Amino acid sequence: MTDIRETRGFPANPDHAPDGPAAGAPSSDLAMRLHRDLDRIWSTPPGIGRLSAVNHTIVGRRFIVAAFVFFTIGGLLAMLIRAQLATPHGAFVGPELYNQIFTMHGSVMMFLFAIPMFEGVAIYMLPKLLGARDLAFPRLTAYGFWCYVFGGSILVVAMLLGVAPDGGWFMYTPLSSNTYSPGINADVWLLGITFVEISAICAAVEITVTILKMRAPGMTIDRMPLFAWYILVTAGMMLAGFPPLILGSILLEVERAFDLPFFDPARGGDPLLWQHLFWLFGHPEVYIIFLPGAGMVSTILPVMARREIVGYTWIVVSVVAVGFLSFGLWVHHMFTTGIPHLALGFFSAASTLVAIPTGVQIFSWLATLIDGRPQWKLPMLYLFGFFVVFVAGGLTGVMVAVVPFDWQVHDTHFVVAHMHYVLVGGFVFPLLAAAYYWLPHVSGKVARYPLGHAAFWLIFIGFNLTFFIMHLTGLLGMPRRVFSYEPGWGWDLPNLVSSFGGFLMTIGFALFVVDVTLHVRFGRTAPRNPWGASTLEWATATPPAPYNFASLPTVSGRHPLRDAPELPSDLAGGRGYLGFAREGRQETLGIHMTAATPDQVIVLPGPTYLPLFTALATGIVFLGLLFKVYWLVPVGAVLMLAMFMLWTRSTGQRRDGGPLPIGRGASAPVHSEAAGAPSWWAMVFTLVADGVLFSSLAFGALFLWVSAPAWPPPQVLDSGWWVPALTVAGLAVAAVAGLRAVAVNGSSGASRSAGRDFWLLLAAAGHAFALAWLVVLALGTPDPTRHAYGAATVALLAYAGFHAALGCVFALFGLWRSRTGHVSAARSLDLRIGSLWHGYTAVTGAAGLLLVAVLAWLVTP
Amino acid sequence: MNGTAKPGKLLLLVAGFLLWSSAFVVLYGLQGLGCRLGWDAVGLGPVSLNRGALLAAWAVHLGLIGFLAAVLARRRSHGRGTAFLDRAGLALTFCALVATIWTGIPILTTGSTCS
Repeated sequence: MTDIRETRGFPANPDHAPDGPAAGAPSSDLAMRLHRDLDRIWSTPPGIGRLSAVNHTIVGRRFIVAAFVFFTIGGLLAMLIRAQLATPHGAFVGPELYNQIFTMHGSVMMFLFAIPMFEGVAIYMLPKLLGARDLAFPRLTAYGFWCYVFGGSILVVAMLLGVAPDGGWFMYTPLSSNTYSPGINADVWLLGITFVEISAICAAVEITVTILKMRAPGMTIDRMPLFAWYILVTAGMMLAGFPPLILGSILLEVERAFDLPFFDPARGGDPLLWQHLFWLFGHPEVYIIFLPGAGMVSTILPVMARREIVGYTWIVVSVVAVGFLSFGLWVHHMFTTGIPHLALGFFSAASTLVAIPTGVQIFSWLATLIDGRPQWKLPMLYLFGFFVVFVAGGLTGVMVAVVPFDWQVHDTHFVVAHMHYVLVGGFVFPLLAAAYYWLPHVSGKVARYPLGHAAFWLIFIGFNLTFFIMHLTGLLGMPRRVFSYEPGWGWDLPNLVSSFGGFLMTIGFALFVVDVTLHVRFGRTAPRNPWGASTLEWATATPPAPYNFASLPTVSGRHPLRDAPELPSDLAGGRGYLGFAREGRQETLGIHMTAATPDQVIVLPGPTYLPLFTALATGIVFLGLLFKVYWLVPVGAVLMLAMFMLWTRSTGQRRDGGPLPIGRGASAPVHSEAAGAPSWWAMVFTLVADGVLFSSLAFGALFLWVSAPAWPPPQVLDSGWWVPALTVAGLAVAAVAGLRAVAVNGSSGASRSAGRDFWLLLAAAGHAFALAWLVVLALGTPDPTRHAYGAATVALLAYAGFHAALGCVFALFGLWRSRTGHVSAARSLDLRIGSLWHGYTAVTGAAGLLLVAVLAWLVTP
Repeated sequence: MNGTAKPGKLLLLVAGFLLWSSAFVVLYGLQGLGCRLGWDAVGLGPVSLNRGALLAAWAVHLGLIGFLAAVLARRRSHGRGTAFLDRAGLALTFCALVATIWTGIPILTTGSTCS
């Protein structure tokens, strides 16, 4: 085996020959040269150049570290809460500061720790588990990271300045409206969290695309690691769950900044609309946090039990079922708002139902343990903690799903205890197990000192002391979010015990930090695959190289390392797919979604500062809104757009490349010449999230008409039929022109280029035409500050207008790419992505205008 | 896998629960809409118009999911797709059917639809 190309059947065509190892050299030299070449291509520059990192291993690690920093901040805030509540009449902080502390504790833990931590783990692990070299969109990963850090920093800086949000982590209106929260505090939450949510949407899109399109050849969906299934479902839930909150945040910020009364009942708004939008996100959020934790359990537990997981298919079925059912629970947080009993019944039924697929997973794990030969190693200890705590939290979850019981404990400490049992049990304990399980992978070392055991018992005992007792405090009637209480009401002792337990738990977490530090600093060198796992991440070097695999594996079962123990050395020796360096490009493979056969070579971008600069430009937009310096907002938006345009400079090609050799005698086109390129799928999933946002807006408008007081409005839009008709016609022309541009581009006629450019210009013109009429309609809408009807109408028109404006950009971008040689009959990706946008804009634009017309008709006396 | 499937076939995994989602949203929306329009006070045989509309919507969704389950069961027995997709798709559709029955039961058991 002296020549990789000879042995694996690379074609001898010199035009396609990659810069592979030289023939005749010894195999170890070849492998070393391959690693050096790949390292040169994939590595991140040192020093200030680290800010240009886009590699998933680096960015994933940064996500994890940043999330842990925020976890520490949130934990310290929790200690302040416990210090205040330890005794009656606690004089530690006053009510104003206490409000900020508990609001920030919840917000930090939910938005700045749990979600980003899971994103970080997914970003770091997924490509390795799937047998890929990176995620589908490395620059998007980095952009998401910067948005997360900048958005989170806004919240933390505000806290240090004493202007942190103080309306509770769910920011209920009207408390968070201008009347009752006139300062900047609520704006900090709305804008800071929305800034952070950009990273969540980015992560969801790229995780979805990566799992569906970038698995190792042969890894059909029934061979995917369960962790990938869990993360896939979670990412799908994020695409559907985050848009309602983003919409709610935008509407509330618009109300606060421009007085459009979406939530003001005196002017046709309704505070319950906020609750609906918030909990449409908020309840799935619990499962968005739990499912990655369960994914970690499903990955680690079979290794610890030394047995294949029991019921793979049933776990997949359960995870998908949980993903859907969790959306049917949102009103479960609103049982006391006066909603009719029948509606409560729907949500109560769904709330009890979700326990069943969750239970299926738990029984699968138990069956795996019972039928296996469990090893009582450190990760298993934390899994034990997970079982105890999460099952208890799940049981109280079934209790609060039942309406009469929920009425009794609503807004008491019982609910606080339940929530912590579910989230800490469902996410933190599995995360700690995962930390110990994957630390040897990240650091290349194994622990020398057994501090992790002591840390576990401190955390476990401390947690249960804090929160088990808190159930009783709640049952004794103590409401949540009160900064003080009277002595002698039976709350003194339980609160003191909870505070003691809280501090014990904190000591446990501190010990965990010490343990990890000692592990990384003084640990012994880890053997490869120290746990004897069978998943692909253990086929990489530890710590991993920036390209993960010197060549990409072929998978023939669910346990690649068990099926082929020699796989790591084969891959390191370049005896898999893409076992060479070609033209200095970062290459990985794309596959057919279900057949898992290679169908494209995905060329990934290298380190660049553009994500950082784009996030800074995004920050200008958010800071302009926060400080009400509105002239800054369009400046930031234009800068953002310009930055995103710069991203495209390094994408695509100016000539057709045709099929390229990928090793093992196979060939595949580069992704820009492939039908199902990752960026095309990314647009599909982005539009799914966008569609959910539009549906939420439509729901909001109809909800106000159905439920809000002070309707009908004093004035109604009277636009006639022809202005909306012209608008829809413009959008339809744009959509058809976009499709025609793609079709003509794929034809072989002499006028192909001219025809394509014509249709693209027509698409841009159609959007511009529609945009002009949308402005006319918006100007004709009754004063949107007088009544929520006008506000909802303007919101629907603004949605359509925003999409039409971006449609113009997409069409002109396609034209520019065509004129600069980036588009050919084989390379139509830019046009196809634009066409998706044009079509979506036409459909939602028409639906939005129809809704505007229907609303006007409904409220006309 | 004993065969391959087009990417669109992955939707078979979630089709049943997409219908459940539709049922859930339609039932909740229809209940609110009916109350807004006063359907609770309008008789429709032994039930109110509101309850009648809810029962109809529920039945339509149950029919659709049942039909989907039958199609998937036949597809599985003919071995047309991949074993995993067929098995998981059928199981999920059956779960969606049970979920739709369970979440709709309050239509039969509550008193007024609007109080």
